[in-house]
Order: sequence, then structure tokens, then C-alpha cells
Amino acid sequence: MAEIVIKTEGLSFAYDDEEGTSPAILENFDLEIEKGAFVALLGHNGSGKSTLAKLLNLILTPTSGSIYLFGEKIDEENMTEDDLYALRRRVGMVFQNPDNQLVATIVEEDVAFGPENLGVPPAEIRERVDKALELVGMTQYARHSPHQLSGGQKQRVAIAGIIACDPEIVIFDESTAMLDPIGRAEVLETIEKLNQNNGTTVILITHYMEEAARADRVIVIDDGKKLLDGTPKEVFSQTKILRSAGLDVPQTTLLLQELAEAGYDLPNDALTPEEGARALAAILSEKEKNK
Amino acid sequence: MNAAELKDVSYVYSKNTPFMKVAVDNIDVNFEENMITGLIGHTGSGKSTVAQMLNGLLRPSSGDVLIHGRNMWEDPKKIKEFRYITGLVFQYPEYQLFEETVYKDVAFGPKNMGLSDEEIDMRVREAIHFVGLQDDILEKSPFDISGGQKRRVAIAGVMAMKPQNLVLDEPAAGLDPRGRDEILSRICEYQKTTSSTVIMISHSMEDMALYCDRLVVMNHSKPIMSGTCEEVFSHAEKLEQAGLAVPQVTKLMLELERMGYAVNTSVYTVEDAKRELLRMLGGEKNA
Repeated sequence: MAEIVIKTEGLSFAYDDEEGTSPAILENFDLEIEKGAFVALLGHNGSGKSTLAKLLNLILTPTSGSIYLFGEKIDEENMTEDDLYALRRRVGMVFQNPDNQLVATIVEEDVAFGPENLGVPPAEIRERVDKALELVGMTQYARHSPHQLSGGQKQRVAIAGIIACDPEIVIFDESTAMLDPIGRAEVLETIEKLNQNNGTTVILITHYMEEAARADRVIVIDDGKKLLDGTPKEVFSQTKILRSAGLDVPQTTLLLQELAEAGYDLPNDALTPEEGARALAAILSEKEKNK
Repeated sequence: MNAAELKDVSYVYSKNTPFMKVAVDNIDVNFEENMITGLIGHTGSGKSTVAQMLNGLLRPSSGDVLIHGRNMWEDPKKIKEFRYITGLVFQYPEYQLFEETVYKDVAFGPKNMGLSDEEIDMRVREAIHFVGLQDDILEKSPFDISGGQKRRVAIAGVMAMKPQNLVLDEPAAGLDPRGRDEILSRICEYQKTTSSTVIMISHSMEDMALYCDRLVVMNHSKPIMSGTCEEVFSHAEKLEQAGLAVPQVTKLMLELERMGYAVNTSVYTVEDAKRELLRMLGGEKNA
């Protein structure tokens, strides 16, 4: 079995406000994620998924429960700032709005910003920047100004900036939400490449069911609790539970499920249009034979 | 009559500088009255520039914008009048909330129009109900409510000005599936109740198929197609060349056609696809 890079036990979190503590955002959340996994995190707005991401990146401190990163228990009271920094830099985060994540006026300088701050020697920075830009397919834009790039390109530069810090885990918090279909496809391909070629553990928070369907594992959070956890096929066959959590299933899945309810022998877990067409072709040709 | 009409319109950003960019290139587009028109196109195709020209925020570099047949820039001093006729909701409008209470924020537009307090009060409540919120939210701070609620308050702020045309730039971006459905069906209901004209920009073909009566597709600063959803989505290849996609179910039907089945591929919602497939399969089995 692969190494467990993220583990939480009874993890709970509530924001403090003026009137005391507000209701828990996360409650008793147990989670284990293996090295090299590609996990999609689904849940409606306010379900607690971004809070979970911030806890895992040690931006927030749990109200109760514990977090283990790379087998090490996070104990903020007894750990020095340096220890926390060391752990934090192994978990990268990419946010929703690319414009808020770019700081420099030249693409390659922006990508170099992270490693520079980590004190990486200049020669190695060069190497990391080139490698990161290559992985996201932005090498030819290295000397361009970020503000002249499309949304998808900007987001890929933001990802390169994180990759250059060499994290073992990258959390994408709705990183495709503001992009058009092409930009979304570009970023998703980059994420898959990062996971497959680089072996980076990926956690993808998204509202797009089609994107989640491409992960190895889908976790659904509702009101701070884990509602479903399994392969995309296992999760998306649970249409009723997903709907009750304010989520959807991919159109293909829904169509085949509705036809199955009308009495046809179709799978309830077809995810892509191609897969759906194949299943439908099978019953259509059956029908033609019986004519 | 057309609610809005662009005639030979061009828009050039940073003209006569090295950064000059033609965002809209000599276009003719009509937006019909009393319906929802979807404006689609990839990032940089010029659709947001068109949206801003419709409300007079940008003045065309050349060409005319007609609103209900009247030339918008005939007398530039009267442009404010046209801004009240066509309301514009920007992308992520919740970032523009600024008042102490939701009430004051929604009332800001009508107040600037110089309406009486009673009229403002009526409009604020009406607008809040249009977007599916209750009166109890009015006294809250707009910064203490959820993201989806903020978005709705921001849209209500424009609805309260009772524009004859409402232009929305990606009203559902970044919302979860339930939030998306809620906001879009509210806009749809608003359009029907007020018989106004709605022009909506979106990247989601699935949403467009469900809520729009007509579509205008932009690519490289020009409209390349317009028509009903059925007409537009039947050109899957052309859409893909423009960097867009057809809805998932349409893709599925096209795949079946490619496999040699005689299916009707001008299908763009799950419901239509189900009907078409049931027809081919011979109806419900366990009816």
C-alpha cells in the first residue's frame, strides 16, 4: 500500500466571531489520502471543502482533532514556526482567480518568486522555472507579461509557480471556476500531467461534475461531514444522495439512469458521452436484431 | 422590434498605441425583444465588450448602437437615460456590494434615479423577491451573508432599477450546481414576469441550452452564428472550432450518429435526449 500523505482524525473546525463560536464548518472529519492520488472534493458552497483545504495547508488551525502530514502529527503548540513552514511548503495551493495569484511583470519572474523566497540557489531556480513552465506548456511565454495572457494561460502560470516550489501535494481550490471551456480543459490537462508524470498528489475542489469524473477518487462533503467517498463511478451512481447535497451528476450519467428507470438495461455509472453512446449502441443494435 | 441592435460596430482598445487591440470588428447583431438571448464565445472573443456597449459604458469606435430603434450616441449628453434602459450586471457582481445593509445596497440604484421613498421601498422588496430572497435579509450587512446570497443581492440591485433590458455577464460563474439552477431560473422567471429583454453571457452550454431562447456565438471579435439553441447546437464542429463545446448529451448523440445510428442530433437537454432515445427504443418498457 502506498504511503499515506494526508490523514485527519476527528478533525473539526468552527470560525470564532464576536458572539462566540459559530456552528462547526467541519465536524469529526476522518480522511486518508495516499501518495500520488488524484482526489476530487465536491460539495455545495459552504459545505466545508475550502475550509478543509485551508486546514491541510496549515493556514487554519483545527478547533479539535488532528492532522498528520507525511506521517507527522501537526502540533502547533510544540512545533516551531520553521517546522510549520517546512511542512507548509510541501503542500501547495492554487486558488480560483488567476489575477490574484500573479505578482511579477514577466511570466518567468513570477514562477521564480516562490523558489526565490525559499532560498533556492539561482542556478537551481533557473532549472526549476524552466521545468515548471515546460510541464504547464507555457515555455514560449516565459518572457511575456502575465496580463496579456488568457485566463487559462494565467492559471497555468500560477500552477507553474507552485510546481517550482516543488510541493508533494497540490490543492486546487476551484481553479477552473473562472475559465472558459478551453481554459478549463488546458488547466485540467495540466493537473492530470502533474499527477501522472510528476507523481504529485492532487486534491481538486470543483463544482464541475465532469471534472470530478476524471479523478481516481471522489469525496463528497455536505455540512462538514463526509457524505460519499469512492471511485467516480461509485459516487455518481448515487444520484439521489448527490442531489440532496445540492450537487449534480454528469448529463450522460443522468440520461442513462433515467432510461434505466424506464426499463432499459443500462449502467447507472456511465460518465463520459463516449461511454454512454457505447452502452446505448449495445441496446439499440439488440433491438434491431430482434426486428 | 429589436431591443438592441449593433450596426457596423467596432471597438478598439488603446487605439493608436502599441497595445491596440480590436475587440469587436465591424459587427451587425440584433437582440430581439421579450426573450432571453445567450451570448457565447471563448475568453477574448469580444462578448464582454459587446455587453458594455449595450449599456453605454463603452462607446463604439465606429458604428451605431440602437436601443429600441433609438441611436444611443446621437446626443452623448443623454447617455444616462440609456444606462437606465439597459441594466448591466458584471461578472462577480458581489464584489461591488458596499453599503451597510442589503436594503441600502439594493436601494442605491433607484435612489440615484431620484425616485420617491415609497417607490424605492416597493422596488427593493420586489427585486429581493425576484432573486428568491426574503425580507429578513434586508437589514443584514451584505458582508455577513453567503456568497450565493451576495450574488443575488447584487443582481437585485440592478433589477430594482427596472431596466427594460437586463444584461448579465456570467451570472452563475463560480456557484455550485444548486446555486446555479436557482439563480438562472429566477432570472428566467423575472424575464417572463416583467416581459423585459435579457441578454446573458455564459460559458456553460448546458445552462444556455436550458434557459435561452436564442443564442449569439462570437469568435475572434465577430458573431459567427445566431439562432435558436437547436440551430446553433446543430453546428457542433463550428462551435468546437470557436473554442466552445456542445452540451454533453449532444456530444453523446453525435457519437451515436458516428457509430451509424440514425439519431436526431439536434438534442441539447437531458429531457430531449431521453425523449428521442425512447422513441428509437420503442417507448417506456415499464409504463
